[in-house]
Amino acid sequence: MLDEIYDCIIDGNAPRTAEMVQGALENGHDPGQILNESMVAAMAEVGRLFEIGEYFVPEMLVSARAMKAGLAVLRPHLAQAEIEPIGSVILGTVQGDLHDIGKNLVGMMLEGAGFKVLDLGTNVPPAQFVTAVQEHQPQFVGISTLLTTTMTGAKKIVEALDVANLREQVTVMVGGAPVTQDFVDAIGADLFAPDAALAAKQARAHLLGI
Amino acid sequence: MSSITPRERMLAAINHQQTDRLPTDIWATQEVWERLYEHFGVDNKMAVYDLLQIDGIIGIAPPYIGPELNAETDAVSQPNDSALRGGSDPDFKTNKADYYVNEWGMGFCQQAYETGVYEEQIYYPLAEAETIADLEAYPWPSPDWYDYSALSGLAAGYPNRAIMCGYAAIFYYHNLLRGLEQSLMDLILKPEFTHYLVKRLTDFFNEYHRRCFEAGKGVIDITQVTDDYGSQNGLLISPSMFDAFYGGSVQSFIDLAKSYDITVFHHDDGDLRPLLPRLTQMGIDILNPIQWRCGNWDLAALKTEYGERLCFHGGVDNQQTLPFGTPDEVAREVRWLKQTLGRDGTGFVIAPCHNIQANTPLENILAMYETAVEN
Repeated sequence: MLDEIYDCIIDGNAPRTAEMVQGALENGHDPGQILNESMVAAMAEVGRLFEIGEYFVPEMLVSARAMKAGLAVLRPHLAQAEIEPIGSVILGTVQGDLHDIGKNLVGMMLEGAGFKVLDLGTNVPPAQFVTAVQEHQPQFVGISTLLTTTMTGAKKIVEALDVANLREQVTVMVGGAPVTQDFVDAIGADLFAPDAALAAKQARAHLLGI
Repeated sequence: MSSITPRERMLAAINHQQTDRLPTDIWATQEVWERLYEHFGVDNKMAVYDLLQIDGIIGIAPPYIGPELNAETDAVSQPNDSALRGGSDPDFKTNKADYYVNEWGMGFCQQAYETGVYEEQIYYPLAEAETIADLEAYPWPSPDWYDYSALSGLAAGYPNRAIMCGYAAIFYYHNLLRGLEQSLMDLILKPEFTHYLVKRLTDFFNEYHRRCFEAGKGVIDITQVTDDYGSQNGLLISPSMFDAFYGGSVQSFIDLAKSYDITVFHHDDGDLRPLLPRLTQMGIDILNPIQWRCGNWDLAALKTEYGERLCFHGGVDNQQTLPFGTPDEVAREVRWLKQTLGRDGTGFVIAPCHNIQANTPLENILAMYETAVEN
């Protein structure tokens, strides 16, 4: 059954994923096991297929959608079994920028890696990132920026976190088309995510210390 | 002073003929134009073209004469996704004075940023459509809504410049009608729906462009058959998805242009290289914008493989060099581009690899064009 859930996510079959998860729960499978062995494992495989150029953005989106459908069925059972996400992430696109598909993909892949994701949306002022960190205490802050004209907004967020004495308690990840490792280093952020699959992989590795 | 007109120089490069120098072109945001006007003490684009020796390709389009567009109507007044309603910034307002709707029902707002304003789409008219019946019910624009007779007059305003008319962008319009994320999922989740949507778009584009080309006989040099299949790293969709959904339409647009002897300009942001073999075979003539930074292209190899068949347009990096580099770095890049993409003295139009952005230092822009025309 767990194999079927895994396959449904790889195939991007949302209704069947939800059905199979329901079935697995009814058959007495442990919710944590369902999450890790079929769902997180499937999304890791989706990420790998993207990295090697077999899956493209449509396939990733559709697999993520299937995973979300399964997670919706699983979530109350995870809560009941007191299974926590491995960590939480606050995501947003910088002020002045309305683009979100990259950020949305990162959010989906992070959920698929076992994180709880709070997406602040687009055009997010630095103050709003700060408030969200204060309120939710995430391990990660993910900043998305597509435009060369607004990418300095990423630095402003790092500075705002610093000023609010929150910088030390979060790992800051930055991604978006014009973003490079040099840029991430220059603005004092922690991780550079060149794409959604790597973002999730790196965040998970960073958190688990592997 | 050369007696070659900018149009002759542009066409020579496109047709792989030798001429006095490689031609140049410019794409820039309005904020950049305002700064150029101020710097040169002029008030129009052609004056800047002359001062910077820009040859250019002038775009003309038949004016819209269809039904009145009114952003106040219920159906289109509200953006249909909270994330698209200008995002989370409390200072953002869907200001009715700034919000407008085009003839496709696509809604746009003004998104301000530190140094300028972008027109951003925030309403996608087919985002809620579920069935082919929904698509049939959509008020598709009509080719009757444009005044094609105006084209020759518009072209006459630029007697010595290469003229471009038309914009057949099938994947792009799918994205703009459904929203990008949704349109990408359509390819897997709603294939029949997508085929129907693409067919309606194709029929519209073919008739609209046929009428443009008829009315513009003798004055239209170039047309765009264009899309954005590339991303920062690789393609957005697989080549087989392109073949399954868009390839046939793109071929029909190219064939139509060729039947009128019009050169096909293919714009494609990002790293589209895996699609280049089939696009070249399909008959594109000009490849723009050569965003070599997306995947670190080997430009010498590109020229070797495609240089006989394609004219390259663009190349000057807009992601790092132009906005954040020094004038010297810009000059060196332009020289490198001339030595690679323009190594045979033709087949290359020197231009920024997209609109010069508002945060670009003026001296970088001047360095680009000065180096472009130096010997």
